[in-house]
Amino acid sequence: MTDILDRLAVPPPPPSELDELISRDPLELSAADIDKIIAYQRQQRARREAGEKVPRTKRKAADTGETVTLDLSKLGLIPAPATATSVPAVVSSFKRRL
Amino acid sequence: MDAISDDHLTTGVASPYLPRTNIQFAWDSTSLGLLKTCPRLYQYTMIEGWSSRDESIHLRFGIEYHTALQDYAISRANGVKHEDAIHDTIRALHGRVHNWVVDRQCRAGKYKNRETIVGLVVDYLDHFVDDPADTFILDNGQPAVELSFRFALDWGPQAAVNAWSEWKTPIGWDQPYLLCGHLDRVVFFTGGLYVMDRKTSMTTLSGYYFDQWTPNNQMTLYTLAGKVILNTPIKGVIIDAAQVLLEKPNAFARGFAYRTDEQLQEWIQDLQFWLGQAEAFATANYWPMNDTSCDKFGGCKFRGVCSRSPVVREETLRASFTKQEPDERWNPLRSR
Repeated sequence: MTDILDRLAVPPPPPSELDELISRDPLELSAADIDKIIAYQRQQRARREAGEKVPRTKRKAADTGETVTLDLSKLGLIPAPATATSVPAVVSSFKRRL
Repeated sequence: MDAISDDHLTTGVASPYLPRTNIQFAWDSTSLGLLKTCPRLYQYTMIEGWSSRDESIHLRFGIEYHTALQDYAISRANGVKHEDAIHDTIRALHGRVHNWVVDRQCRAGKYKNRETIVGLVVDYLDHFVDDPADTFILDNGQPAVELSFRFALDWGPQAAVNAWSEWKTPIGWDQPYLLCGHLDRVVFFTGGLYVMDRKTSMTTLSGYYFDQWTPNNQMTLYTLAGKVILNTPIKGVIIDAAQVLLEKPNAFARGFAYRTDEQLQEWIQDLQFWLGQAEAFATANYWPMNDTSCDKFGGCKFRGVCSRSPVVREETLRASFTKQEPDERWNPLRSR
């Protein structure tokens, strides 16, 4: 059970370069970092003007690893559903009387 | 041209209501607009302070945009070159927004967040590096940007005149109505003086977008304010609009709003009726619903509240909105 939960704990995607710069403490930002932020924005603008589709905060694709199907019964959280063996027969004796 | 009197400029914060009442005497275009749209909307927003999560995002984004452009204008007026002024502006902006976290799942947060505000400011300043509109310089040498103003009308709430003390002695005082607001920038453009008002939008800056500013409370008030404060003819208002886009370059466009003297006089005349209505609602402690406004402007944010039975509205308000403390609520007298 622990293995399943661990595989479900996917880490968040890493921040984009702009995210990383902007979220830094202002006291840790150098003049060169500010210039980098401005240059990054100008570069993004040039790419958009050239017709490239550039999302506002471009993030690297996360490595999600193996896809796990969640089965609550295996986790002991709900009883396993009963397997249906046949479609219930229509009760032909019932007739609606108007 | 006379210098702007300090009497016209606001500083500090005071209550916009007569003491111990809900009778508002200090008005701006925002509170007037709420009243004219629907008295119940006015009550929920101004009197009771209910606000939605999205509003705080729009408000913060707008404030940061205005502050950044003000910083740039001051730098340039002090002789700083464009690239250095942008650098200083972005550094100051970063200092204010680096820890501003918004919910990116909502539409407002997706478009308006710390990354997009930085991008919008850089794009605007690059776009208007050779701005044909020159910032007007005040007599004190400061650029005419971010000017909070207030001026008095020649009439006031009747309640102030008729006020009685608890000992039944008349204590009426002469409290005129005040009109307040905030001029983003005053500029010379094509030989005339204009008030410039900055807007950020998520919608296309088309002719339809600019049509909304005439007639319009805010542009009329700004034209009036410009004439009063600067004591000189103002040609009109330039709406300096910016559209935030996510996958295309941010877009910028400017439109004009003009008002004749006759239109300004008519607006003041209409104002007498509107402010009289506001005082009547506050005196009765009842603000009626204008149920023809509910579907306007994309739908009133309180429609879900007003469409419920009166007995459950308070509960609905608490579940869906935040009640601001009195000193956090919209206050026309609060200068930026």
